[in-house]
Amino acid sequence: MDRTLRISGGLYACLLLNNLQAAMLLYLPATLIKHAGQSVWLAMLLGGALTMLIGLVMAWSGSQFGRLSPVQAARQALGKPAGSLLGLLFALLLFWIFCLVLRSLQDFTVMILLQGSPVTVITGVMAAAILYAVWSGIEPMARLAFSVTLFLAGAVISLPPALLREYHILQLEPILYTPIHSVLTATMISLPWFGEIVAFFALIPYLSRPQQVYRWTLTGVGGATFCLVLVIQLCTLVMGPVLPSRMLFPTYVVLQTISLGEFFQRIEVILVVVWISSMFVKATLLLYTSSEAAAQAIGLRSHRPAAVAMAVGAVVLIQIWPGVLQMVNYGLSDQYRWAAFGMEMLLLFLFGLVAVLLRRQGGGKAHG
Amino acid sequence: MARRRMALLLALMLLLSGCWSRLEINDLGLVMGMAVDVGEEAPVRVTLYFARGRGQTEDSNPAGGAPVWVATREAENLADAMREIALASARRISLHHMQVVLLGDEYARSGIGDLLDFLARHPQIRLNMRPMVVRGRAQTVLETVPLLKSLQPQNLVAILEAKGGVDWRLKNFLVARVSDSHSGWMHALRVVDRPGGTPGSPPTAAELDGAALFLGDRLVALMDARLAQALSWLLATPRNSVISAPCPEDRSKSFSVTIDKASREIEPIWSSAGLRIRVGVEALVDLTRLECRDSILEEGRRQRLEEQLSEDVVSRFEGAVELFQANGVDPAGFGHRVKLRYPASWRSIAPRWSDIWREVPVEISAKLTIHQPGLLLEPAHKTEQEMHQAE
Repeated sequence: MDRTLRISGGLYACLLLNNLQAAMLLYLPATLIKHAGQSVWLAMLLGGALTMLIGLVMAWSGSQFGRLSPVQAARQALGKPAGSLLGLLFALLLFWIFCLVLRSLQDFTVMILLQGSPVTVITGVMAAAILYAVWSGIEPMARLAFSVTLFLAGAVISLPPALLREYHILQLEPILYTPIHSVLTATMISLPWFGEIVAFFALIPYLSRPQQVYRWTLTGVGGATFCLVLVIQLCTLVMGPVLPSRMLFPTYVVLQTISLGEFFQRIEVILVVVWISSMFVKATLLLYTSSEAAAQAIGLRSHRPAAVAMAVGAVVLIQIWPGVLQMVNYGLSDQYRWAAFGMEMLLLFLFGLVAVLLRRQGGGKAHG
Repeated sequence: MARRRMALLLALMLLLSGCWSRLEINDLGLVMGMAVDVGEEAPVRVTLYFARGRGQTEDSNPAGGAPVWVATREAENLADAMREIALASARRISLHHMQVVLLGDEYARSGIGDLLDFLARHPQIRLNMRPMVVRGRAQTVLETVPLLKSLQPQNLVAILEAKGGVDWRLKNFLVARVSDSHSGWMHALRVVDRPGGTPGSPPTAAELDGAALFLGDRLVALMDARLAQALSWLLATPRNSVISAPCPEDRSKSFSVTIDKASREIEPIWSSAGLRIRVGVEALVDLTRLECRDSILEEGRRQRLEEQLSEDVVSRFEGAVELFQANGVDPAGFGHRVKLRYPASWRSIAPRWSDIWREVPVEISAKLTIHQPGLLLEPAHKTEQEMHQAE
């Protein structure tokens, strides 16, 4: 890693916010609403609270690494073979999440925005654009995340008043009508997606003020949770607690219904561009962190060759799902959920262990 | 390095030109409205209402200068009928701008589940379009020339907006369709003859005519405009609605008011005697017409007019509720109020609500207050009192 690069805590929080909410707003609302009904806000709040705990553990562990990346820290604490293995595991998880995000972008773009365009061209162009951002390094990515966050905040805050005419008492459920076990099920479903926060192990060494990592981690997770609660709850307020659970992209359908005075319509394109930019930030971060971890694990001097290989690999690999249904089946299956969350928690534990060992050894020393 | 970046950017520009899946506006057949009827030779008849652009309506066009093309086909199902129309269309069918979907009452009675699924599934269709039921063939509405707008679908939407009151769209119907606590309804339309029109004006016109009530996805009853006013009031503020009632002393004459401000309270009460629902409506109204020989300045006489109005409103609500209960439908969401008030008890009755609702007593009260007399304080003709004084 280039130790001269630094990002501020605010940019770190922006990256975190974009990373947590972007993919969840695409595929999760229907499933969460199906389980939690209009109590989905509670499920999301619980998910957010648990993520804050996970984030704090991650922040503590990461701050023990000093200016070392998690893979470098692991190699120092566990020895090269074991550390590299852990690094590869880390890279593999992030790469797989990158594949899912790229596939989500592909499906949404081909189904909704650019119908009729060849899938491989769309995905190839997106992968190339992501690769270009990754090529430029962490700082441009973080600055991109900052500007996207500004637009995202504007879009999210303007949604409730823009949908004012869509609320009706017939779309409301009694408060806490859904049984608590169903709410908890929804929370559990969201955990692997929230658990992607472990990718930020790779960003902590870049913080200009590492001592503020706790504050900015909580800010990022809090912002993402607020965004998720608001948007997913709006889906249920606009379409009731049942209809959105039957839709593939309920958030998009809600955006489609915005009609101010019958003349200001079809503004979902603006909001979708903001959201796609957010997905782009997430994909960029995942490709960057996974390629950096892979490069360090196998001893490459730069992350760029790994990034190219991974981007090309992802474009090919994500075509294993013939359609969006198969992708959704996979992404929301119990099998994936537990495997992903299990892997995320395993990495949290192992990097925590690395942090403890480093602490005993007297802290992380920056070397390549 | 800079050169390599530039080369990469240039290469990307070739791919990002956006020309791959382009659709020129000239290649699109913009569908503004759709009508679905029972077919004569096949189960479904679909009629699409295409807006034609300026270039298509020139006199040189062999199809004539009409700004629309109304295409009809029959087939086994909706998708096949749409495909049949596509085979006759020189432009690619685009449903992005569809504003209304009209259902013939016969088709609606046979069940519209297939249509709802098609509409909700189609990525080009927005859920804020207006579904309406037509008394008779829905196709005839699209074939009728609009009166104050150039395109019939726009005309129908404008009628709904000008009328005010509840704005009921496809989204609302779909919400009702999957709800256990209220049922769906749609505005109803009819085509009327206009024999007295000016020369050259269309011989028929489409107009709003009450509401269509659904049980599940089947039309079970059509309610007239008078009762539909009560439904509108139960769901939203019926601002600008006109109510006419007979005069208290001479029922052959009448007076009319326009609703200015209105509210309603629906209160379910679950006691040992069972479930009952209390409906209270209140409104401030503007007097627009007065045939009665009553002085509205005199409080006692004004009160009699208000009581007469209130009685009339109560009778409308009672008629509407009677119709709902007779058909086991609940478009106003009385069940939903029960669900909100008694959530725990609701779980036990939800599956049987349609049957339970038929027997639930509904008490209706109304209080209307005349607060604006227009520009007159007294009737323009002589009042009862003045006539007595003259004698």
